[in-house]
Amino acid sequence: MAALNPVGRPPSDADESSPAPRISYWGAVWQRFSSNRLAVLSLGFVIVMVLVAALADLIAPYGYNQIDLDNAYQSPSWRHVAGTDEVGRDIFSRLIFSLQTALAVAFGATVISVAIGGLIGAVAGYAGGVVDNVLMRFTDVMYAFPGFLFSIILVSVLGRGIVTIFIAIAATGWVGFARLMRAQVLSIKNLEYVESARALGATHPYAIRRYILPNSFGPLIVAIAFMVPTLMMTESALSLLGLGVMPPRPSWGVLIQVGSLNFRAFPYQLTWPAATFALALLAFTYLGDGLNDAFNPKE
Amino acid sequence: MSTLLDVRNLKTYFYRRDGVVRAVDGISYVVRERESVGVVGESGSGKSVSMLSVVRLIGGRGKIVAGKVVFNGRNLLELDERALQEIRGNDVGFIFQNPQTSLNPTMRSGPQIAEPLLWHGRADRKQSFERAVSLLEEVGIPAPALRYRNYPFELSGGMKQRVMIAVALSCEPKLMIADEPTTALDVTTQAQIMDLMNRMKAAHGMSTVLITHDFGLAAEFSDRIVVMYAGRVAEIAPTRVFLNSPRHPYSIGLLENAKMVRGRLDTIPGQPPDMTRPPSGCRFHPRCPRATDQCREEDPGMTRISDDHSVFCWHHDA
Amino acid sequence: MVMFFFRRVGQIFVSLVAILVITFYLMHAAPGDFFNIERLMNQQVTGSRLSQFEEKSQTLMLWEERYGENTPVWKQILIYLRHAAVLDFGPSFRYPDTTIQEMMKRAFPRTFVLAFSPMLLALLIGIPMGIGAALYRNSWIDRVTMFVSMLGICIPSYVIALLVIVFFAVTLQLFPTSGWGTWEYAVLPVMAMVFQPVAGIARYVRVSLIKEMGEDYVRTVFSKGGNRNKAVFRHALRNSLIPLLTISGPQFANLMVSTAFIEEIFNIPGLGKLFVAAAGTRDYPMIITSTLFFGFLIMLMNLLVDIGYALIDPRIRASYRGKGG
Repeated sequence: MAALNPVGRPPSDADESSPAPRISYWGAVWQRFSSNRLAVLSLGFVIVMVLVAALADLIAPYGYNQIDLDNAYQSPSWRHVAGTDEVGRDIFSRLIFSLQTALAVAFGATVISVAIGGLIGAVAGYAGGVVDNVLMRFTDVMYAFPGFLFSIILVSVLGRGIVTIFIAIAATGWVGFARLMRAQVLSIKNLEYVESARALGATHPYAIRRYILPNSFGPLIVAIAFMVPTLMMTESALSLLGLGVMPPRPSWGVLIQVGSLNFRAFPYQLTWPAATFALALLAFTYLGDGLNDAFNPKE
Repeated sequence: MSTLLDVRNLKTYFYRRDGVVRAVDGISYVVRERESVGVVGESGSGKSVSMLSVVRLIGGRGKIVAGKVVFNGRNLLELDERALQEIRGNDVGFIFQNPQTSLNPTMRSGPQIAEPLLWHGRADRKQSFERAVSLLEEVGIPAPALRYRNYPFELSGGMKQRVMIAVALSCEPKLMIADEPTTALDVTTQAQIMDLMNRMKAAHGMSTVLITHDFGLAAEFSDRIVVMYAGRVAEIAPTRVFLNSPRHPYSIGLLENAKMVRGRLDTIPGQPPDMTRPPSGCRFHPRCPRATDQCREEDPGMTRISDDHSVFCWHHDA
Repeated sequence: MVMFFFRRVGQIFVSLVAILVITFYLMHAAPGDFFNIERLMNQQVTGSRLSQFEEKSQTLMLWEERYGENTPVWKQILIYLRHAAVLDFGPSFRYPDTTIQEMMKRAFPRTFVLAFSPMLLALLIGIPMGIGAALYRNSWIDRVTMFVSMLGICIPSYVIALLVIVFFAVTLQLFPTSGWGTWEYAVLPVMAMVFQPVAGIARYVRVSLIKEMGEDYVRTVFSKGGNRNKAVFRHALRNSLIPLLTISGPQFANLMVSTAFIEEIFNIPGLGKLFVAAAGTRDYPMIITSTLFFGFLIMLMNLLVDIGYALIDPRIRASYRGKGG
């Protein structure tokens, strides 16, 4: 029987690199992550976005539905950095609130998905046998079906609203996490140090908390980082189809669509929303890439 | 016997993010015609890299930074890639460690044997098929015409290594380099493969280099033995001399191990060094029972014991 | 192989029934259930409690004509399945005069063209891009390819759709903005949809070709005297393209799903538009059937991909053979 692993995680590459200076698991992850300049830049940008979204009410110069018919169709100026729309609402402010909407939906739905999926996957993997079989068959069925269409059905059945979107997305979003969690649990469950802990009388919840959860963090964080931009797209796509958040609450999808209609006369109405949306998605995806490389080193 | 391969002061470094790995750091030896040489060392001693460097099969971050490799009168390190391609597979055949991964999994095994014949203009399509089948037969594969059409996954590990040998032999090379050819195989298959290599060596009159960490295997197979440690040569001697009077403390350790059990090198106390920061002086000194201050500070040069026997140690006559 | 095929077809059937069950129960269990609302509205309109059983909306009558009054949900599902077996899906709420199968038959070819041509095009463009990026790794070719494909992955197709409309239809007036008919109508939607799969495929081919080039058997090719062209085109490329098939399934599914908003934006009367319109108006018969059909198409595609995989890769083929198929 192998000795108990004092750190509570399997030996990683970093632990093996013989007499070289020993660094912790997270230290090594951070070292790899921070060597990727694009990823660090994206992380900074993401943090800024989260702060802006959280403090939207303080930062946005105008309300998202502050109509000012005298100032409709303004070109960008110092008063309205990104101009105004057809009823004189400040596009820059609406963008900030779109960001808030998108991030709220993305994070909210991700949290619910992770909670549900993590629970189902962990139970399936840890219990094994019939429980595992039933849960995974169910997961397979849900996996085979495109989540976006399911979300549309749910929204149509439940009615529009931000909570509905949470539910609609999480209802299929958990599937990926369930699979990931189960695979993690299975791969770790049979490792010697977990077995030996069990043999020494550790209880199931203890084993899960102490050994299985810490090991699942890496893949989980990567999966979340990739899920958030996908959900931001889902949110704006639903809004585009008239199934997203209730107007006048702004959504990127709607801003871009309206902007495209007014493009010839007022190009800034399209360029601003489209460019910021692309930038936001790009930042999240590069961040995900960086995290992925940091947690799963190739060499 | 004239010299076929003359390696002089060869250095191959790997430029990794965390530093330069001096995998091969100035080694010299010769391989004569029809001679078989065993290159012995722990994993990480640079034995495989040194042989791959000979025909410049080092990829990725590896770079040959110095030295000369004279093969058949030509310095291979000065040839262009195209000229080198004419030599690889044609004059020098390679057998690799892991037959599971060294054959293309989605290509039938016969064509993989026939390829070098076609590429080197040794045969046309029909001839190459016939030659491949007869090679399969020669390396002891039953029903060769049928096996020609098998995919690698349909063959056992030993069979695959036989196919690899057939690949290496296809163009009747002057030199065959076998890199740990039996490590990935089980014990009985190992014996069969070594037996086959012995027969092929005799039948085709080639020079062979056997790279292995198994001292006993090298001693059985080779006329001469080169012991490598941490990217350098420790000792070179004819097998018989080696068995009777090894001079380098590392060689002595190897020999003692080999006498006890069929030698695994990892029973010598201590660990091979980190090659981004190799030890000063003699690289073996941290593990050496004879180490003195001189060993820690100065690199021991070559000492000739006899014409054919040289050793790199300050205390070779202790 | 045959066994495998039948097992997979069985799985598809079970999954479809599961989707059907979920959709049916959702419709009935949801707050503001359509059927209750209809009854309630009748009540209000007629103002009398008695007449609520006599005065029914047309839609409710349509439904009950097919499924009977107050039929339990599980029985409705069985009734649906019985009809579905002979491809009879009945009328939709919104278009009571025609049948759902008629509408889908008209819509399907458009959606198929819309989803399939970007897929083909993406393979034609994405594979060479990925090869180029892998062979000239870390060169400017690689960097440009990877950046462009990153944009392709990040920017959703509906945004690209709006951009191409603005640029090619409104500004340059090269192609019609919306509608369906001659090939010109397909250009912009296909252009909008092709970016994402191109990006995905190019990145995938790059990574997998780089990985294959590092494999032992490629070193063997060089040791035999092969040059880089032989190593790439005779050996590594083939092996790196085989797994590409597996991601083609999900890619196609993605394209099918994105027809939902692409058809909406370009006003193309295809399946996606039918589905979205049904969802927007709570046209339940249409929602159920189009959901099922989307699910079926995607699973069918995945099955075809798996069969293709088995045909190309001798190892997979053998593993099925081994299972007595």
